[in-house]
Amino acid sequence: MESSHPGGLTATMRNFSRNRMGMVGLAMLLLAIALAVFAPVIAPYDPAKPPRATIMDIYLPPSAEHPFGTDDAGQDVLTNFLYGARVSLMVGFFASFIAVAIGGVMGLSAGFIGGRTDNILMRFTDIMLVIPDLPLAVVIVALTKPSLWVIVLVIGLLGWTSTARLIRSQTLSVKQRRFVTRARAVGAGNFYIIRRHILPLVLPLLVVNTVLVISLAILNESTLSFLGLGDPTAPSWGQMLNFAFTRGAMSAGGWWALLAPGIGIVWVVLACTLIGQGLEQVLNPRLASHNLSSTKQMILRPPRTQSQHAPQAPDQA
Amino acid sequence: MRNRRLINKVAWALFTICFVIVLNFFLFRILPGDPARAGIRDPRLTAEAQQAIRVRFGLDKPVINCFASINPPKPADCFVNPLDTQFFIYVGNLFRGEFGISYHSNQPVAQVLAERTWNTLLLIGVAQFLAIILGVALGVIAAWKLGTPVDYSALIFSLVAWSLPTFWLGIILLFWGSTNLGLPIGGMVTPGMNYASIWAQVIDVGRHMFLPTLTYTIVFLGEYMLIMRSSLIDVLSEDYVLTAKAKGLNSYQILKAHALRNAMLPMVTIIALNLGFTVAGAVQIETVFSWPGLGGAIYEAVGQRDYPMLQGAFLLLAVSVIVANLVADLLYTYLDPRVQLE
Amino acid sequence: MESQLFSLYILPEHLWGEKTAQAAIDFTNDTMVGSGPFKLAEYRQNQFVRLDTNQDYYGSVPKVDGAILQTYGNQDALVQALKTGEVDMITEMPNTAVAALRNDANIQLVVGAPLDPGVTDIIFNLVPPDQCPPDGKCTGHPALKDLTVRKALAHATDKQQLIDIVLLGLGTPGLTLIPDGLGVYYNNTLQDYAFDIATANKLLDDAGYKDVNGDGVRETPDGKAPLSFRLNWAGDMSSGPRIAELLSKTWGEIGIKVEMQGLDPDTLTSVCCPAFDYDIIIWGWGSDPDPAFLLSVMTTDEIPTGTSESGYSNPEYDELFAQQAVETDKEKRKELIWEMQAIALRDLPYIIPYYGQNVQAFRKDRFQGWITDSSKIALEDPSSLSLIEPVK
Repeated sequence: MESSHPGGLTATMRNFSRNRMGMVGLAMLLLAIALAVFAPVIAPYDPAKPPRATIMDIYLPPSAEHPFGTDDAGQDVLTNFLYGARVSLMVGFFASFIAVAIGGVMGLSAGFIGGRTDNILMRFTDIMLVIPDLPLAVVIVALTKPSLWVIVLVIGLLGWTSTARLIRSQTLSVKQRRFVTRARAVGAGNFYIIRRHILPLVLPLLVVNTVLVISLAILNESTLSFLGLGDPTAPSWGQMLNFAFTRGAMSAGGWWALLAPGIGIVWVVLACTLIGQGLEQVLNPRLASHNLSSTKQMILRPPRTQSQHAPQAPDQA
Repeated sequence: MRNRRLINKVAWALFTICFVIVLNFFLFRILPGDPARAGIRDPRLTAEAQQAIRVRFGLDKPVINCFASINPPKPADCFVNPLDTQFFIYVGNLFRGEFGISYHSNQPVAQVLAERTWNTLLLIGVAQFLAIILGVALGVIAAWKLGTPVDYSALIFSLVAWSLPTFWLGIILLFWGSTNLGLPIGGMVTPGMNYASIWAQVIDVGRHMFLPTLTYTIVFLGEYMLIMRSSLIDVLSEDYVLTAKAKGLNSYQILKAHALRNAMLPMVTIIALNLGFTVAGAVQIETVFSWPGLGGAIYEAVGQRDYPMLQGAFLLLAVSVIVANLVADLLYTYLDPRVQLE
Repeated sequence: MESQLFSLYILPEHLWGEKTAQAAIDFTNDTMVGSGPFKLAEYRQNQFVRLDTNQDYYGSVPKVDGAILQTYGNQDALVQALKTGEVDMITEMPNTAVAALRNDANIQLVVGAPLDPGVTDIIFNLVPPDQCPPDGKCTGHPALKDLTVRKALAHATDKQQLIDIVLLGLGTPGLTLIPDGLGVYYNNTLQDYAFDIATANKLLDDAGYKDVNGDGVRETPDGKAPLSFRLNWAGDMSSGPRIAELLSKTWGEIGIKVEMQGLDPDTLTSVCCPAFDYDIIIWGWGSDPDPAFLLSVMTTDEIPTGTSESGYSNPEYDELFAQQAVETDKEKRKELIWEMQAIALRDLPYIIPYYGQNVQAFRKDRFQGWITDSSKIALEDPSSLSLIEPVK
């Protein structure tokens, strides 16, 4: 049904599979997800019942027994890394789901209904856009009970603005297309038009945005955890870094306790960025090369900025 | 028309600031954790002593008409003088430039923040300057050499730099720099130094600044490079570049004469709008490097539940982001001839 | 009475005699007055304190020109600063750094009980319903009021592992609130509950705490409430999360679940006491040289004041406390105090995981003459600072 529209989801998927950068990102992300899902199988130890650690086990360098070494509590870093992936990815997915759901609904209604609704919703979005996210998140998480769901909620509730702006402008442009005006002319209802015509064309963009919001959510969670605001019962990668940093990993020479979770974060964020880039190129192939270049080449666009700081002037007028 | 637009934008910025002031005031009273209790610290104090502290921090007044306190809400006397409520006293004090008194240090918040702000501005200023210069240069090279190994390397570097958690990069650089380069571990100056000359002082601060600046620069460099690259490619795809090429101008001339200026346009907006992210970076970098700046102040104030400090810092940040937005918006209008009229 | 004098300070009457309580609150202490061997020269909050030597000091004038006490944002940086020679002495450091610093030829480590011995404690909410203070909530889990459950928890607490992991071995297993650093007042004849999961399980089984619904968590004998406790700690304790995590694992092995949450000290105070709105708290006390204060913490009289954290109430103990307060014979007082410790260990209002030792370190190539042979260490104390001189 949806695939009947050029630029719809299925076509996008097909083109995406030919995009090298996007596929590399997807492979990286799938690997991370696989590690998280199969953590109980891969991990050498059970984090709930680790072998009794003594003073001799603290900050052991990588060895056959502990491929990634041990941490400040003598626990296996690889095991914690694999289980930490579950927490970090879960926060990333749930938080971005919240953000994209709010942003999507806001953007869609603002763009589709237009008029005063559009004005109010976008003004509100503008206000949320200028409030510094991280300090606000720090304050809210610090003053409420630190649980994983509070963190997910805060990151989600503060991260929807870019999605709202993006979806609104896409909705506006789709709304003006001829098949939408025609559908309206033959008496199609609003809900029908949204479901049948607008959503299929907005959806790919929403997917791009989701992927990018996931990477931001994972970065934000790790930062909050690093600042000591994480959920102690759900050790994420950020939490591992917090323990390593506050409990003297470096002065003990235990760089491995810092390295593994850090690389994990970079890996997932990079994967999401690459996927986002790949999708973006597929959706917007106009700029395949420029007039001074001799090769045909895909263009990469900065991930954060294009969506969040789209110059406001033209469509605000 | 231009004037009307200007007035609109400024009015909107002012409205946003008002909104932030209200949010800032009530946020700390709605969230769990009672400012009155945090101000008093020790619940074992006698009732009179507690009351005296409440009076000192202005917490003896009702929060606002009809609400003696918000957490939990207690609809109390609605007929108090509105000007004698915490909210309006707070707003009134703001107009006089008073941000209250820090619970932790007992010093005026405005005074502490002012000192901290300069330290942060110094760090951010230098780092942003470097990141912009390097980012733009790298972006131009990559766009020009589109599709070559140079482009790819620059691209991969930028994407990885963009993906790095700021605090993590900071920790790694901190230990690399202090162990291998003998650089200081934290702070802004070597304490107790008597400088022989102003240069000795500059060098000392410079040594302390090196690692945090490097971290900052790397983190922002990637983003600027990506923006500059795509923006330049955008411009180079325009028809007039083709025309110029047809007129026999070489690549360098085209870049210099036409493309660069136009490609810089989006950079202007983005640099100004980046302030929000800059602040997030400051919290992390200043925590890792013990830099006595605004970001570090926020982190410390959270730990100490120093509500007046938090409120002050938060307001300062929000207002600077709003003002930067306004400036960016106006600058864009001014620079880009296409966005002139409504 | 030394304990009382320890925290009483001398104030000049010509300045303070006429002042009201309000004035004391408003006083910001901008111009400091003192009589020590050092004078405050410069102070930048959260950065450093610079002290100049007081050349007019009535005692022996320090041989150094002054001292700078610098603040670092984290302890790793502190160790690094000592290694690179940015600072000459550090008074606080992560125990993880001990091994690394021990191998450094230029650095001397000093390990020992600190001047004010610290106690890390696990507090149980025991307040009896009839003793609940007027503004108290008294929401403690009923099972914790059963000594059998507390005994089982004590048997399931691996103190040696906590010392190994959290302190890297730099501590001694704790018994009661009175730390071993208090010398003669510390009752060293007491027998602790051995770490033994099987004994702990048997205690709970015999008392009727069974896992009825098979979820791995035991229920109370009436089958109503699961043995799931709130476990809070002070957010400013860097060891808090690790202690809680290790406890949750060994306690989990005897079918007891904990909901862990660090709380900032203010919030913790407000749930702790005298509100008694908690189940278990990990916190700590600094000790006076005399045990009187720490002993008072477990008396019934202190329940409404908020000094009693556990709400423990035992007339026998209260009586002994009253006796030791007026006993003038040092030996007899010691006997009373020892008996009180035996009661405290028997009744377990607290589990004391360990008494921590302090680690300090200084560079041997900069200054010499630090006091390191005293049983109580404090390199930053003026007594040390006024003796040291540069290494030639």
